[in-house]
Amino acid sequence: MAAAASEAAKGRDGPDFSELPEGCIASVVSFTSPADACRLAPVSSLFKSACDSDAVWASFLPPECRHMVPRRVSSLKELYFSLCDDPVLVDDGKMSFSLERHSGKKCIMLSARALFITWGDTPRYWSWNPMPDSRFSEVAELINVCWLEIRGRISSRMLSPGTRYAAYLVFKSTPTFFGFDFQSVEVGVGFVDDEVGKRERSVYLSGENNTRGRQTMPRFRRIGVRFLPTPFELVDDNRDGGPPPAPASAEGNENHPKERRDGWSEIELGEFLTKDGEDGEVEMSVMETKGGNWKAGLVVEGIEIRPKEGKE
Amino acid sequence: MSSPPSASASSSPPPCPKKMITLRSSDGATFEIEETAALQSKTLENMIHENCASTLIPVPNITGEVLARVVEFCSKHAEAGVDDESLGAWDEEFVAVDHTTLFDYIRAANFLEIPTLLDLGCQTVADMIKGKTPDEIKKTFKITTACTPEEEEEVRGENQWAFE
Repeated sequence: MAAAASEAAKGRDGPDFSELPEGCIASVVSFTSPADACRLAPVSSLFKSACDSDAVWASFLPPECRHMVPRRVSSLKELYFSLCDDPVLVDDGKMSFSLERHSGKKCIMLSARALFITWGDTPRYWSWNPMPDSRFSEVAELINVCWLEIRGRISSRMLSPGTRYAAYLVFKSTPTFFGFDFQSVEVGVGFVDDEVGKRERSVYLSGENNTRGRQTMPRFRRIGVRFLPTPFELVDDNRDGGPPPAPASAEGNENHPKERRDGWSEIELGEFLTKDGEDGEVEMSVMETKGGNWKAGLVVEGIEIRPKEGKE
Repeated sequence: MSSPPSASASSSPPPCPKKMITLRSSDGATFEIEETAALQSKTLENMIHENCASTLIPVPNITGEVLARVVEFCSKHAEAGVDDESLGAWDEEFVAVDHTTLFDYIRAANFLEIPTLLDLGCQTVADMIKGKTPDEIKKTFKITTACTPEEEEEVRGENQWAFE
């Protein structure tokens, strides 16, 4: 405590930070972070000028950003926040690119079109439609399948090195959402050539309240194709030992979807680490192929890959 | 200053004498530095190429005390055979100084355009201010041109997300 106080006193009597050339203050700030640069701006007008300078924000922006964005901005700081708040469509609209605000790390969302969806091209099972609140021109709507298999791939070269990333399935449910209440799905993320590192786990695409406890009312499921008069059949829960038990509350919310700010829901599929100088293909998967039950009403916007919160 | 003796002195030619440059500080002190070390400074590099005949370069902005340390830094970084880890440790010790000296290094590195010293100095100061609020910065460093509370409030408002 005494040492810190004397150090503080020394600082106050010491050199005036304001006497450093603005360029030097900008160099100092460029070694901090976007959040630091914004926090330091109110210190003095010299700091504000340095913190807002293009020299600082050039160091926070990934090098390729300055050329990829066809939007009018008056400064690199403005460009940075534009990329944080307003993802850019790339690769013919099949992916979106943005930056994570605090760190400046790259985020990518693969659209449903960029994913491999088993039976995705068969209109009886999946339908492709525009949706006004999607960033992409179309989303994939699950009509009805037994075999749910969604896979995505991304080269780690497209992401920031030395970063722990997580992948999330971004989706919604329609009124015909069915078959997910008591049925978990298997999700996994990992480098293609790293069988050891790939982690798989079971999650639910249905909200936590829907999967707690056993359902006491009889369940019906729709059979046949949508839009035609469809009979119902009673689901025999007692066959095959009944529905699987609801997840223990101790597992917390990680196994259930969360609401996103853009109105969609997301469920974490897993995480991986990008390494400096080492590139590889990362595969993400969402599978439900063992239960044999029909599933419907899932709308997939895509898979988002972004830095894992709270981890460097 | 002289190269270490080679293993087979009889068969290899004698090493060339290293060209020395003399720097004169603002207070008239002079310091010798090998040309190869001086070339780390873009400013000195330009001066050396412009004044081919002369080996005395005046450095009016920098005092003898600071210039001596800058010469030490450039010489160390021009040394052959130093591994990254040792150099990193040496650099850490070099910047373990009070704020006044640290700012002097930064100003000198800025004027002489020595990227390695400038980065080292700026990174050191950056590490002191990362994660701090404006109030904490003002406690650690003297800031004579601080914003008025109204100005501060306005700029804070523009950058609100960083304070949440």
